[in-house]
Amino acid sequence: MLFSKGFMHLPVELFYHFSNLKMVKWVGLTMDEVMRAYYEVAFERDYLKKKGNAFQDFFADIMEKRYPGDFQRVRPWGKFGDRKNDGYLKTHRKLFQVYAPNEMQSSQAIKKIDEDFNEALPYWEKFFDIWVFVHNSTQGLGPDVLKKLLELDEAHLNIDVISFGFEELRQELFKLNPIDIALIIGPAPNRNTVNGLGFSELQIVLESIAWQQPTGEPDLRPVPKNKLSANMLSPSVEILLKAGMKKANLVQMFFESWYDPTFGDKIAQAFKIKYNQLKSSNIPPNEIFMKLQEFALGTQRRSAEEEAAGLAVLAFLFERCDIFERPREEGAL
Amino acid sequence: MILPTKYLREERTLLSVGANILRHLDEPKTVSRIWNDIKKEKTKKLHSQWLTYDWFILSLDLLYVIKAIDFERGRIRRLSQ
Repeated sequence: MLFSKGFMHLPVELFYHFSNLKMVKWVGLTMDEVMRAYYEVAFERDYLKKKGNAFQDFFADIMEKRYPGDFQRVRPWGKFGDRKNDGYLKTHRKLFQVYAPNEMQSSQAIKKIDEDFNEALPYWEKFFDIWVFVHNSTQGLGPDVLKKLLELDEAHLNIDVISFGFEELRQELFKLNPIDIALIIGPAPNRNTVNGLGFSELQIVLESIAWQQPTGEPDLRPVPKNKLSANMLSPSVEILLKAGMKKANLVQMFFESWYDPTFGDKIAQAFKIKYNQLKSSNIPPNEIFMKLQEFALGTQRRSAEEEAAGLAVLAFLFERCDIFERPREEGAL
Repeated sequence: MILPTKYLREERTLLSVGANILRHLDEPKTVSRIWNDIKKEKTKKLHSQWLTYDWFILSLDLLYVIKAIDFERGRIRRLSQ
């Protein structure tokens, strides 16, 4: 189960956050299932994308908000660096070491674990009982790496050695309130934002991808049923697409009134080409969805309205079979 | 552009706009006159069928290429079949 079906209720409130002299206003942060689904997908995207120091900061951001006054972020200081301490949780006596390479190789990971643990031990020993190996793999750790952790755990009876990956970090994130999650991940649309979508927001989104040139023959077959389940998209992605579909006709109306009659085709073809590129790189359907969102909106954070507009466009294209696959039984058409 | 696609409705295709232009060519007319006649008509219809000048010219090009019209002494005229 990716998420519980309960709702997190907060009174509707205005929250002002000052960042670099720019004021960002959040309104009405009740977490409904659209917002939750968005955050699930966004977290997975960030977890996969961030490497090295960016990942370490991401981890520390979440932990600091989760355990305020308790989790200590450690930064390198002078010639000894951080002394193999990437984070310390005082009440739990946990010492964290973060490893987020571009690609996880067993031998390198094992070397890193060995080095970091053995260097941390003499300096921090009396302060920790649990050594945590934080990593950025969504596939879990390889058998050699796991063995190394188990060996260290056995060799030091008074210290537990554990790993901390995708699911562990995800659980910490979703224990935060929506305001804190939004500060870490960015704004998310909720049901109201999707319902309140206007033309101007959609136009901005669409214009940003209008420069792509179309190629190939268009697909004129009608939309088959069960397309969502046939593409093995996660429940969270399904919720996002279904929410976007409510305003998919808005996208249609936009194309029909836009001064350039070929705009709709250009957009559809651009997404189709992008989808096929992503498909050929053999990444899972959920990740394809995330990358299509990025393609539509860019990698910079957008307002909740623009994010919702992006969902409406993706849902529109999904419904008209310009992206993702048709169910196999209809493939013969 | 010429024929309808998934996102281009029939009323906005060059073929459809071209057919509409031919309807207005009961006598030879200048390009400006045809354009004005068509615009007057368009304002009565839905906003979604807004026609730009560029698209209008492309339709004329299509009609010329398929030999449906000719340009003579500053006027567009319909060619008989």
